[in-house]
Amino acid sequence: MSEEYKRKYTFAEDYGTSYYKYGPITLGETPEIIENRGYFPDTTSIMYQIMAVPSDVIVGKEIPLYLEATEDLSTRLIYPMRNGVIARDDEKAWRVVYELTKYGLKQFKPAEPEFKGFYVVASLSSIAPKYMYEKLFEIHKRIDEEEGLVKAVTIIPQPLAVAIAHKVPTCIVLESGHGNTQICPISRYPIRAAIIALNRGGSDANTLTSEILKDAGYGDLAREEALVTMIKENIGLIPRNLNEAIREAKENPEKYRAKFKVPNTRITIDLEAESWTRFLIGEYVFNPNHELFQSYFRRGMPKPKDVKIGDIYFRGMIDFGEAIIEAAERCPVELQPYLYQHILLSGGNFQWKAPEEFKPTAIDSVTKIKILLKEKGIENVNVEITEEPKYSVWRGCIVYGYAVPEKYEWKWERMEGWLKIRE
Amino acid sequence: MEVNKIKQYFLNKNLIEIDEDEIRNLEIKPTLAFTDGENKIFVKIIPLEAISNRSQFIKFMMETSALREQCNMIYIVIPSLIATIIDSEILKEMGIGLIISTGEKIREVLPAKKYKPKIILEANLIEQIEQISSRLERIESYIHRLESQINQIAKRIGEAKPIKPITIEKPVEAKIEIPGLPSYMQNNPWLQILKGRGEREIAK
Repeated sequence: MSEEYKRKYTFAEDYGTSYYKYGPITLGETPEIIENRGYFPDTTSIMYQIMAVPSDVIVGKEIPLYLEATEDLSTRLIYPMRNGVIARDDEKAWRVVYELTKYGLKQFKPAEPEFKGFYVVASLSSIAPKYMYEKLFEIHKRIDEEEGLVKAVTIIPQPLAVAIAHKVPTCIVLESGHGNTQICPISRYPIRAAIIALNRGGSDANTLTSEILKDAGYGDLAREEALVTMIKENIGLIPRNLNEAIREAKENPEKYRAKFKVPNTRITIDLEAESWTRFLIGEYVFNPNHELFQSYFRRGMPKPKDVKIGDIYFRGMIDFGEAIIEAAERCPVELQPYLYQHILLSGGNFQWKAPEEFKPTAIDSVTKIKILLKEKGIENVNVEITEEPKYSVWRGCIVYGYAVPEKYEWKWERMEGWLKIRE
Repeated sequence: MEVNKIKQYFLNKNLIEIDEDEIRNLEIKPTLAFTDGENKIFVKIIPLEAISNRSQFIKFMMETSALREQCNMIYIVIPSLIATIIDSEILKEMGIGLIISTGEKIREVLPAKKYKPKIILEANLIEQIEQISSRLERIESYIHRLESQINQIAKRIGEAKPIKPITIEKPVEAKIEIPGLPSYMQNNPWLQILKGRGEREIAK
């Protein structure tokens, strides 16, 4: 099969923590996006019998049409990649991945008679263990057997895809999603031995926001995660210096008042005298070590713990600056200056607003990372936030599939190349 | 006259006999030839017929005179019998050394004068030299023409307006712009990096 064929039928899949981004090269700038989740309806319910639900697992944009009572949603609505890693024996999660992958590939099945299957580039978290690669290859083989949709498949780590999409061959990528953060140095290849994984992501800032809402008297709203996320994104601020920001906010309570009306509802959140806590939310993402957070931990807020998932050791409390330095220092000394020249911040957990009226007390993610590094003696670094962070992994996968030669075959020792599903 | 005795006489003077090959190109050859390392010393022994025959004697002297130009010093060896009839003043004037042999004794009565010999060149060598000379002339003529052209150019440069100094711009990396490709592919250095993946492996 020729290079031209491969380029025409390159297909990318990004298994993000919250969203599954997928589609062929012909989509151009933006992929299709659906939530990375699957719904297992109660097959014994009357609704299931009446509505003739097409499958025992529902994925895609139709999910809301089949949702039932909320009390058992957590067991029926599965987000397989919530933590970037799926347990080997988590059958439900793997079933969702299979359904999502099949859903995406079938949606773009070309009508041309010359079509003999896509060249699929899938992207997983950089901390995904080897068995996840094996499982994902099996899923693609199965889909090809059933639908004839996959000619070859390869899997690349998400930070590599981010670096490719941003046209930077040597860099450190910080990918911070819902459940965790990966810090991955890249020099033409991902430097796997230098990857640092943090057991901290957007969900931890949600937990703190929840606690702040409870303290402010909004305990009933604090349980709705989607609402908490929205509030976090709208009132949370990153402080240049937490102590100074709190003092400033307490001295100017009206200026820093955290008041937010939830769109299309009658709900308004107003933190009033506790509005200074909005700075805690941003600080917690980058550095959870300030003494003020201790009071929340003592009152039962879960502290980000050091955990081992599969073969990967996830750090809980290390700040982002220290984690970047630790990752860089696992690389050759002569490479380190070049790595610091391009630090790419990717993922929803870096999308923080720094409104003009709150500057310079409130800052953006780029400035915060620079400050954290400067405190540890690393200066003159170049930190960039990725444009279109939602799409960058998918875009990187498309470039990868387009460019990597069709004859470059998959080898486990280097974790690269095309695994041919059929000739 | 015994040639060997005369040879021994010169060898006793710490001279070294010259190999015959070295003088093979000479039209007229000496009876003996020696060197002290720097100078060539030729010895011409008068033949018996030249003692009794005037023509032969004149021939002998003319040959000696011709040989004188091919070496640094030349001696003639005559028997004591005719020593009295030789005008040594003429030989002295000509710089030719005179050795008298009595049969038993050998005596240098007139030392030879040192000359700078004329170089004898072979015909083909002369031809080559002529060719080189001809080439040299052509090269000289060419250099003259070049000098003249350089002078003309220098004159024009002097008359021309000052030229802006040449600045070497920083090399720009080759950009890959493929029409129709999305923005994230345009000028993306990863395209080249990834195209090279497994190059050696595929070549095998």
